[in-house]
Amino acid sequence: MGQTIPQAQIEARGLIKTYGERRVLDGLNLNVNRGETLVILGTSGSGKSTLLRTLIGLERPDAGSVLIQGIDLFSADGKSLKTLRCRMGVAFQGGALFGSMTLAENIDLPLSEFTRLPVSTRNIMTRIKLGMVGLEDAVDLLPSQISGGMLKK
Amino acid sequence: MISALIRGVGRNSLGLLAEAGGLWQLAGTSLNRLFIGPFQGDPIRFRHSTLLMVKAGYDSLPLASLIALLVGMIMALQSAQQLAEVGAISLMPKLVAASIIRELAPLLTAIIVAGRYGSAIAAELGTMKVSQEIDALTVMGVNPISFLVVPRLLALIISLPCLVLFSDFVGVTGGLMIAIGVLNLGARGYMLSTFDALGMEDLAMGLVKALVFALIIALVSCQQGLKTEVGAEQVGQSTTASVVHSIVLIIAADLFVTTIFFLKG
Repeated sequence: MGQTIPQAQIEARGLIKTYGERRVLDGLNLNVNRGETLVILGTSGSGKSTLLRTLIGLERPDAGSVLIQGIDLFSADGKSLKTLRCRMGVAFQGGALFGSMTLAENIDLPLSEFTRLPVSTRNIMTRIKLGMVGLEDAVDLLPSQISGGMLKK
Repeated sequence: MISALIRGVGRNSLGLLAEAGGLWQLAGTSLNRLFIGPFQGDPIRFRHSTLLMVKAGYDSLPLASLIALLVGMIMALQSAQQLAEVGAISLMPKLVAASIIRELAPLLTAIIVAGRYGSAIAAELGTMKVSQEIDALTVMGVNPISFLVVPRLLALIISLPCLVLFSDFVGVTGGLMIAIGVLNLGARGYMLSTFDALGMEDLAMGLVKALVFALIIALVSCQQGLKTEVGAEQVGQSTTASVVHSIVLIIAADLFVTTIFFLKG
């Protein structure tokens, strides 16, 4: 019998997060199902960034839990967490590319960290990926040398 | 007024304790990743570490050499003046060599590296924190300690003792230059007296200090960089704090290591 994948890909249960005396998340519950697109709206300081940072495991809540595909982000062992993180993708507001690395090196980073592919294969894959977004000529450029739009790609 | 003062002292003391705790924790995690990590599938990034060794060591060589040369010359002049008064100028080479190798070369080289490379580490990591690059690493599943701290720690652990050895040589040479050029002493006699005065323990003390100072510079600079909050101003504050904290801890550690060697006899 195959393993059943839970319908809710992201589950937040009773999240509480307080900064000083200010409670930003107050028992928040949330389900994001497979294929669902969710928009979080709110005024400045209402906790949108805190919620997102908690959902991707960058911020530890004071109480509550976050489950990604059924795995608790804050109590999972190192190996499960690593596997889970390899399947996650986050688009940061400022691009978050590594300023000291070229675009090719940025693309190559997860490949060199998590695979044992030979350098030549990784180079081909990097060029293919940059080509997919029309940046094949920017392989050796640093993030500071390209436009904001190119960074987002 | 008094209660506000007590509150202020309490708050600062707690802040200091938290900082010390954070540094201790970073030290434990980093050393664990450096020595145990490779056996648990977390390899050391040697290529990256080598590039950082060049930045930390090779690039600091001209400045460290210049300072060591000047200090060696100053030490020779100062000690010659004092020793001449008691008719013991022949002891000058021994005094210069012991001061340089046991104390001045490790201390001054470490302070130069803390100012030159430690500040660069804090600024680099601080900027990475502000621009969410460290968040990106974490989300990607790459441990920031293994990726950022361990290579810098390794680079300093290897390059600082090498720099100190070189400074030892240059500092003694500075003393020799003064001995020949100003005091009209013989080069052969000076070198024989220097080698006669020095034992393996002197060299070991300098190297132990260099190792301890390397740990301090790497850990303090990384800690300050990683705890940068938001904005360019914070990056500046982290950079300054990394240099100030490193220098204070280096001098305190110097006293500690010197005391241990002194008690050991």
